[in-house]
Amino acid sequence: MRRLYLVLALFVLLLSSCEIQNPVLPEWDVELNIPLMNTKFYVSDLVDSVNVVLTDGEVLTLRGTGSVSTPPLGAITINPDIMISYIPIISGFEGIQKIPFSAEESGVCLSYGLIESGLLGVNFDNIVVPPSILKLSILELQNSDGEPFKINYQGETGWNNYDLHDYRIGTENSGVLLDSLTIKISCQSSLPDETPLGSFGFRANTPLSLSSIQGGLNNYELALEQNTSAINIDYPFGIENAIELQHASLMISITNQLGFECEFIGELYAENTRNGTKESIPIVDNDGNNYLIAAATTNGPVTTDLLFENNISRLMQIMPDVIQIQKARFVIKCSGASIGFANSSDIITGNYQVDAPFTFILHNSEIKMQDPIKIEISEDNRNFIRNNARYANLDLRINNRLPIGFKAGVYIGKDKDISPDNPSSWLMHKEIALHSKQWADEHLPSSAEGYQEFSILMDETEIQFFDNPELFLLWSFSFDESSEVVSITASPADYIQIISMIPLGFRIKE
Amino acid sequence: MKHLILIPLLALIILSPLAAGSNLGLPLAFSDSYMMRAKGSEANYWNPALLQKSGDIWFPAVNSGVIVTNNAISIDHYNSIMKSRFISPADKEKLLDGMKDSFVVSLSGQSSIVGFSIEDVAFSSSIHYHAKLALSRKYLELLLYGNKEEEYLFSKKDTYVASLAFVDITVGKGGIRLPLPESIPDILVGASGSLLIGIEELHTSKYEGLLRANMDGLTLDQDLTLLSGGGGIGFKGMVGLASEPVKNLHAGITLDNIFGGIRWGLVSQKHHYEASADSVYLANLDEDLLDYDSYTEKAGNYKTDLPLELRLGLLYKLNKGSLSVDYLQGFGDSPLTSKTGRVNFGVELLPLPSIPLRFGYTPGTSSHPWRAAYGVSLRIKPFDLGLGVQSYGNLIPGSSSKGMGISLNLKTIY
Repeated sequence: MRRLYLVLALFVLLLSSCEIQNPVLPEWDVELNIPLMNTKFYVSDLVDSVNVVLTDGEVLTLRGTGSVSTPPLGAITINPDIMISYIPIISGFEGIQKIPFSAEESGVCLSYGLIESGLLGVNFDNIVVPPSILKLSILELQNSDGEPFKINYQGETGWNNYDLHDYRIGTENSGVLLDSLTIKISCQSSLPDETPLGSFGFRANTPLSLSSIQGGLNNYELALEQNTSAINIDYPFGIENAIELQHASLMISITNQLGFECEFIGELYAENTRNGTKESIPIVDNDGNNYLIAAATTNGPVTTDLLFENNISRLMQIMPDVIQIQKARFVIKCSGASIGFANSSDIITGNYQVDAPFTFILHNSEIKMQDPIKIEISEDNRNFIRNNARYANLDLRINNRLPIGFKAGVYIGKDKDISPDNPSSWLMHKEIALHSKQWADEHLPSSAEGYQEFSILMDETEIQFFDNPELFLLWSFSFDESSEVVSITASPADYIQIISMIPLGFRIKE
Repeated sequence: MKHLILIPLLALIILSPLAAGSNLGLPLAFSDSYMMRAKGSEANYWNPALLQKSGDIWFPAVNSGVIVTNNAISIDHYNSIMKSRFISPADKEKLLDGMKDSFVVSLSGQSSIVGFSIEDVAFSSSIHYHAKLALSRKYLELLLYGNKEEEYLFSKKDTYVASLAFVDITVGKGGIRLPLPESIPDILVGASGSLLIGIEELHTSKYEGLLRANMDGLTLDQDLTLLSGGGGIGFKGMVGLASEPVKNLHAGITLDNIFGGIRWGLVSQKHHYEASADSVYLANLDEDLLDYDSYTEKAGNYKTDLPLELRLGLLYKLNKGSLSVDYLQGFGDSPLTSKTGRVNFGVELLPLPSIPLRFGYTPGTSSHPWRAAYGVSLRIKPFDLGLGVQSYGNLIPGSSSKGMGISLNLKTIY
């Protein structure tokens, strides 16, 4: 029996030695390999069809546009400078008298004009016996009803001025220049015929303003308005120090409302306001002559397109941020051999466009963003980083199909005043050097399929930097110096593909 | 729960290992080396040829058992992790070392309803429950280490779930001598037949899984189909032979689960679960990139096969004890059977005829760790009161074990 008790006691002892802890979630470390992204960044995505466009050969091109305009032509002023006196008044005379007419001293050859303002003076002098009928009319001067200008003598003495507003001078669409005025005289009196009764005179020696003319304008200048728009170029990230543009072209499209051919005189001005460099070149054709702008027709305004490529690259190489057409004017040189037309409201307008293809020489100058990017980290993420994160890497496979290589780096800091030259202003700096397509094709094995591989490591200390509610990222780039000119095209084969994974070590906790 | 409470003798809770034959009574103390030791109602489940000239009564509902085992972690190791609240790299290695292809958790139980035997006939009935969950070792590696490899493949072979509950009504007859020449030792034959009333069944009909994470993105594919049934009817038969070819050496052979199976028809359903994601990147998580679908459809009648199981047993009786060895080989995997063969060893010592001491040992397999068993009985006719303990993965039952069993049995012998 004692043996039985012993055995039972042994069993009880065995059973009572078994203790089981209450279950709790323990902690442990794991590493997850997380695929982050697989994205192709196409050069063609930069095209916005406004400022960045594609030109021949799918070359990416920076485009700037501006506009030009003249003020309205305004009224044309002529001064006929006619002063004729002592034209005899003969009783019983019915006839005409021609007096010469010319506005050439005003630079106008007139065929027809609509008078906006002006005066004609008539003088009756030494009238011995007032005629019963004395009528004077100028046949080439007609009112809006088509009736010639006429005077019926009523006993006036001395000079009298007559308002010529809304009178037409010359014959519209005659195609013939006006060189004289025809005065028709009709005189009847009680005295026998051929009896001198006195004299009269005409004067038109004050300016006549014409709101519409047909004829010729010689050396008549139309200047552009002062507020002609300029092309402002905003180079991203200070890239202007890193590239040297090689080609550019200027396209000017001028719309002429005047029925006169004009000569365009002007210069293209460029300024780099950051360093004060200025350049200007005259806008002339390949032979060094000013461009001619076609005249409008009776069907309406005519547009003339001018393509100007001479020496523009010299302008672009200063990397200007302001481009403008300056000192520009239109000069009408129409001698009257052909009849032109114009109205006082007519203007000449134009649009100009500067194209700068992305064809450049690269310089090894650091390009920095002007302002860092702020990122906000949520409290949940910060808790995870503080309590769980151990390390993180960023594994990158990048396929650069562009002809440029560059270093890309980021400075990470707690406040926005990050200066790469001041290490105390940033917490962390990471950088990769990406080679060009040519380098990759020549140096990488075929098994790499063009992919360049990078691994950016962040240890536990660096991970904890992300336990800040705000961080600032300042990106910087610097191109690999190129000895030859490179062109950036935007075909479907021009892209940078980034494939990345994050190996993340963290602690699983409750 | 701080300590396992010692179950009073009268509670008679028996924890027994997952095994074919029976989960009740004395077999636990012999680590399942019991085929040639079974008597009375037990012989219905172990070897009906041994039904002869004996009688017993099973007490209903008091012979019940449940066991939980796993193949990876001991109570000590569990306690150590819970105390430190940290799974170290050494802990991870230790956890994974214990398993081959899968982490397996098994749960089984049996409860007697009624049982009695008279002479060479026995009648018995009990309720059975078996469940097994296997999780691929790769899932554990993912959980403990993260996705260190580029690709993980999963299949039904290493990840599955299975459960089966049924009631058996068994009648057996044995003790039939084969007509053989006198020069040949007597060979007894017996057979038992069980009507199986199916309660519920669940198993993995199909499972394929893929997890791939590399520069091409994260790809996930999980396709799982579970088949479940309720209300079924079935049958299994057992035949057995027993003989004493040499004096004191008893040998036997049984073939179980003849025409074994349960056909489910009252309720049967297929549960489908599909999830997929193709080349997902963290940068694109705002898009709906995970496709998930689950639906249930009616399934037709289906059958749970109970594969044949062969058992060979030897028992050598000594003056004050006996030695036994059983070999068990299933011909298919099921909640009741395993294709992995198993050898069980048992020893009984009789320092006093009324107080036998028992020992058992079973080497480990890929799904179960090795086990050692100990037992003692008090035989005061007509009662047989037994006490046994079993330890998985450790010689001494305790917190270093990966599973434990305790048994008490009480029956009458007349």
